Amino acid sequence: MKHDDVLNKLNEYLDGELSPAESARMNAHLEACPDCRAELEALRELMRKARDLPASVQPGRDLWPGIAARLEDRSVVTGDFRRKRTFSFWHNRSALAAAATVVLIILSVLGSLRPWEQEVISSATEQITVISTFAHIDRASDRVSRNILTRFDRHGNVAAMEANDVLTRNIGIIDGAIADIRSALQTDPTNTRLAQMLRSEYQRKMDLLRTVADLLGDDTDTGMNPTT
Amino acid sequence: MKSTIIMLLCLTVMVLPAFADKNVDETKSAASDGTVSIDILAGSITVIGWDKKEVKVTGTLGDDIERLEFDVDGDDTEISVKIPDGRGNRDVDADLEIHVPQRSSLEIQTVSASIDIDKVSGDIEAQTVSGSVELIGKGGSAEIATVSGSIELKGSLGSVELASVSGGIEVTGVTGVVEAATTSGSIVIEDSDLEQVELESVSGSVEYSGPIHDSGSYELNSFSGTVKLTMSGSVNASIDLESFSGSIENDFGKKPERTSKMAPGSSLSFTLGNGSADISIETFSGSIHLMKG
Repeated sequence: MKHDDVLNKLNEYLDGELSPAESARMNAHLEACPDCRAELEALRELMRKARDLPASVQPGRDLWPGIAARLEDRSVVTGDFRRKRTFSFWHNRSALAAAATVVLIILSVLGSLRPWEQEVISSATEQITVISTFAHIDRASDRVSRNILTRFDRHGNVAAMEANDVLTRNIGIIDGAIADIRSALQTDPTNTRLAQMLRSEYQRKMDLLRTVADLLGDDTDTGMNPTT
Repeated sequence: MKSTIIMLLCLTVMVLPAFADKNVDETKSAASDGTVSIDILAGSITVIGWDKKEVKVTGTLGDDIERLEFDVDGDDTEISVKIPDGRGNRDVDADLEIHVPQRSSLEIQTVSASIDIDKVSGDIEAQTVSGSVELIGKGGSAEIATVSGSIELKGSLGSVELASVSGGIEVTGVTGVVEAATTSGSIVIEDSDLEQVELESVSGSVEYSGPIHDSGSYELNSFSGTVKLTMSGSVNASIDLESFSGSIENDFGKKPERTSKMAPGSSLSFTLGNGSADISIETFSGSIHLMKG
């Protein structure tokens, strides 16, 4: 079993929702992996604290609709990411991140994060983190595309247009995949696999641009570091 | 009339050399396990390993190529063509057959030139934009990347990393480890004996057929493409299949279950034999087929 798969399934493991075969594989990995054991212990501790809290301190309502409403108001989690909206997105992103952080801090102070709440919030914050790279990727995409054309114009080679066409078409395919995942997230907002898929597709978009830039010997900085 | 014909003949004789390809035929001594770098814009490259400690370049250069550049410096051999600056449609095709010492490593870059490699046992790196790549492996590792060119691999290879944007990837009769990724191209691996496989695509289909090693790891992912895994022989594996909205077909009996009340997704986890190998298939909307070989 892979490290990431184990981390993704820790909640289900603790809740006893895994099949015997999966549990056995989790056990085998946990025995060998100190990082995953530490994660598991942290999660156990959190659940212990949550269980030990007096009932009156526990949140008496479902937190997700509020978080989702805030996010939807700003068209981030469920919004359309066509280029014309990029500008407003950048203005809203910091406010959103701040809102999510405030929610996290409040809940952490209360010490009442239950596993499902953790999942909801980590899913939402993961989406925000993922989305924060979007405008960056778009700008990088434009820059690489322009550089491809310039480079090939110099060589006067017919491959220039071909490469650019292929790049444009395939970036479109990845953007289509991103749009589909985002649409699915509207239906199933707590689905962590979808959030991971979303991140993978953004990563793929960056990888594609990097590959094409490398292939074309493009030495211009694409500025595609996802952490910036 | 006669004088007109003579004039035309004279003109033809004068003009022909200007459009004729230039022939090249050069040989240089080289290290038996050195690195041969080849950088060609267009045309075709055929690289063949041989048992001599020499690199031999034969073929033709397009009329707008100034010259062949062929240098050996210690363990490094560099082959490229000199193209003067200029624009427009020009004849810059180089069609070269290059013999290299069999244990050489190769670093090949082209824009639209096709690449064929045979009988070379060193590590191979090949990059092309629209050219195709065909490699018959002799035990080294291979890293191949294309934009729209196809990739075809055969033979024995240590580890293989393949990437294309829209080009199809075909691997036949290969042993070792294969990682392949494409956006819209298809990936087909058949009649191969691989211990570790990582295949992923966005819209292209992904197919693997072959035996499952007891300690092997097989990860096949596609966003919207169909994923087919055909397993031959006895199988000892833990199997996880998951799709957000695609169908799952399983030749081994167990039926998939819904993963969420809110979405049409389904998943299926089960074990065959002692479960020692790991098999994981995931799609978003692509269908999954797990089949007996």
